[in-house]
Amino acid sequence: MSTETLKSIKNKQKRQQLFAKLKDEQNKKRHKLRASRAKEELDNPELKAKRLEQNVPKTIESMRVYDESVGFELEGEDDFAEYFVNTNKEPKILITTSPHAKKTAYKFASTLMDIIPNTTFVKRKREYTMKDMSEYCSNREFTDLIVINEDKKVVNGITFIHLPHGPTFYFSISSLRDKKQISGHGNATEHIPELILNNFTTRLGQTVGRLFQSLLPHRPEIQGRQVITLHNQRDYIFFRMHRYVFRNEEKVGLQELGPQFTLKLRRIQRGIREEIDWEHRPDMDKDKKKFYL
Amino acid sequence: MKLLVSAEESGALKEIVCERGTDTSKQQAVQPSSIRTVCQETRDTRVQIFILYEKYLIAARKGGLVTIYDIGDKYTEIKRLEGLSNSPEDVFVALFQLHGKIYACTEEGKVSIVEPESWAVEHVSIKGPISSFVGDQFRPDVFAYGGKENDLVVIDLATKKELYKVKNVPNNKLDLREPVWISKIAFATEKDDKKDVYKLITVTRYGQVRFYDSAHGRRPVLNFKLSDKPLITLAKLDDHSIVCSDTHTTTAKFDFKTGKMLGKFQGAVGSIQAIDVHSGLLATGGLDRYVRCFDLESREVVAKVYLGTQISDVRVVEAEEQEVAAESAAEQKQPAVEEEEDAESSDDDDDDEMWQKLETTLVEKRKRRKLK
Repeated sequence: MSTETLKSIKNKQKRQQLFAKLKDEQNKKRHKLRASRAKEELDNPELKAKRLEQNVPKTIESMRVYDESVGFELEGEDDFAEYFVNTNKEPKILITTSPHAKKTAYKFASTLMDIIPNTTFVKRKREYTMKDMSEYCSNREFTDLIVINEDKKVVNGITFIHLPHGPTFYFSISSLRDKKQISGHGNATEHIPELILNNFTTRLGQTVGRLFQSLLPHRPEIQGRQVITLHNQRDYIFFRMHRYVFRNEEKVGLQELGPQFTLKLRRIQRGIREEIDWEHRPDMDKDKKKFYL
Repeated sequence: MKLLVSAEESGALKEIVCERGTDTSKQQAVQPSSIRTVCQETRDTRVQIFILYEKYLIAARKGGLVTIYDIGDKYTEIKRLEGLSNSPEDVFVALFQLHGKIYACTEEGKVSIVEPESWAVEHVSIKGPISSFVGDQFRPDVFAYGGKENDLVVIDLATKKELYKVKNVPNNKLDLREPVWISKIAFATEKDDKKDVYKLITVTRYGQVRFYDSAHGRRPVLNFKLSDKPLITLAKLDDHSIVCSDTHTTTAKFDFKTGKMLGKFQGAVGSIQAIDVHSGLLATGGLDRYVRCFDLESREVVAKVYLGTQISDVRVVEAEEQEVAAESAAEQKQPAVEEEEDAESSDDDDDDEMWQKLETTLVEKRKRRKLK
């Protein structure tokens, strides 16, 4: 029975009944096909390889709008150059919150302190602006200032200021999950974690990648087996932290340590919050296939 | 057209030769025929401002350096002048040629007057901090400057006499003093004006544009707030319109006589640091690493080139198309069009077969229409 005849049936209940039957038949057919194919491919793995090669699904990423800065080699130096040249100087970071912060902001600050080594927390005082704080931090040889933004008891943003000359990054934070909310989570140790930066391809993405690189000390302590992953997908940056376990010579297991959150780049400013380098505008979301990172 | 751009991150200059319609963001569009990196130095001695003077290219670099290059094919360095700033942090705010001399001014107020050919340097100091220093093209030795909490002054540089000193605008309705932070100045004097009349346009970091006329007192004749964002560049087009850009993404044409916006130059993602007007073209360059050329009348993008480094200054060298380049580009363009046609025709073939099978008069009509 085809859908044409189905449409001509006026009784809704009957039509639904027949439609369900039709659907069920189709499903059964498909399952049968898949089962037989799986059996075939188990005997002959080449067939599977061939099928996967031929049948590449179209994704938004694969249909991405051309961006000339993808794979463009870094030219000259930027403000992060010092971190990469002077490998003896370790980053020193100060974390603070927005003024009148509530408990969630402090909690997030403490989790960040557990993740990023060599950090100090200072309670925010109303009278100091970001500019003032940056100046005080530069005088005390801090290399980065992190300000956590909280609104209505929800952490919603984070600012990174690279010291002493900027740039300033503002990210919005969403989907924040504490490690306690992750089932089967482990507890992070004091070791310096490794960092995986995934998929930061454009020139802007490279700048963002360099920011995260410059937050962590140069040499990770690999005996800790802890990894921070920052995975960029469609301009959303996913933060995950894991410990890897060598089960045997071939198998490696992962244990999530938490927290989980998603960052989205909103703004980059030159210097300490001066001229706009890049800013997310709502009309950038119009083209779903255009990505900036 | 030919553009010169100073790359901030590598301390070099880039020479771009392209034609109208160039867009590096589109693979199908015309690509620039050449991008060359010249005068390479490091980021510590990056070019802050540069000008073209006769057959020389003069670049003011960070750290009080001025380098002079020969505009040939190679941009060979002729002369290197050092110590034109008071301190290493001091930045150049102005560099221009006027009446056969080259003037450079730093933020702290050190003006250097360079004699071309002999490259002898003379220093004069004026009161800083300075954001803009300009000269009057009709009257020698008449200069104007201003900066943060340093309101506009017109001086005679030879005698250092103040010719015209402006007064701040009246207090606001809460009786609070209006802060002063001039970012750019332009002379608006005409050739047939009286000798002691000075007309100037200023834009401020507080978003105002002000028009001063010394014949009408010391306060601005016209004062308009154009934007909430700091205005950082200024180019005068004619007797009533200017082009300004702010620290965000707006670059626009304004009428400073009425305070109205005449239209935006769209496309920038980052702040525009430098603009240059040359025979109906506006070149912009800034932090988004693109150099864009706009048509001043229609405000449409004429060329857009990705450069890979942030841009501190931009100059249009030649606005005209180079014939040879245009021809070669046309040749390149031709095959691309043909390919497209091929693709279409192959599709058409398939369609034709299908339609032929159906053979109805209606379909034939449709087919004919399609082929037209």
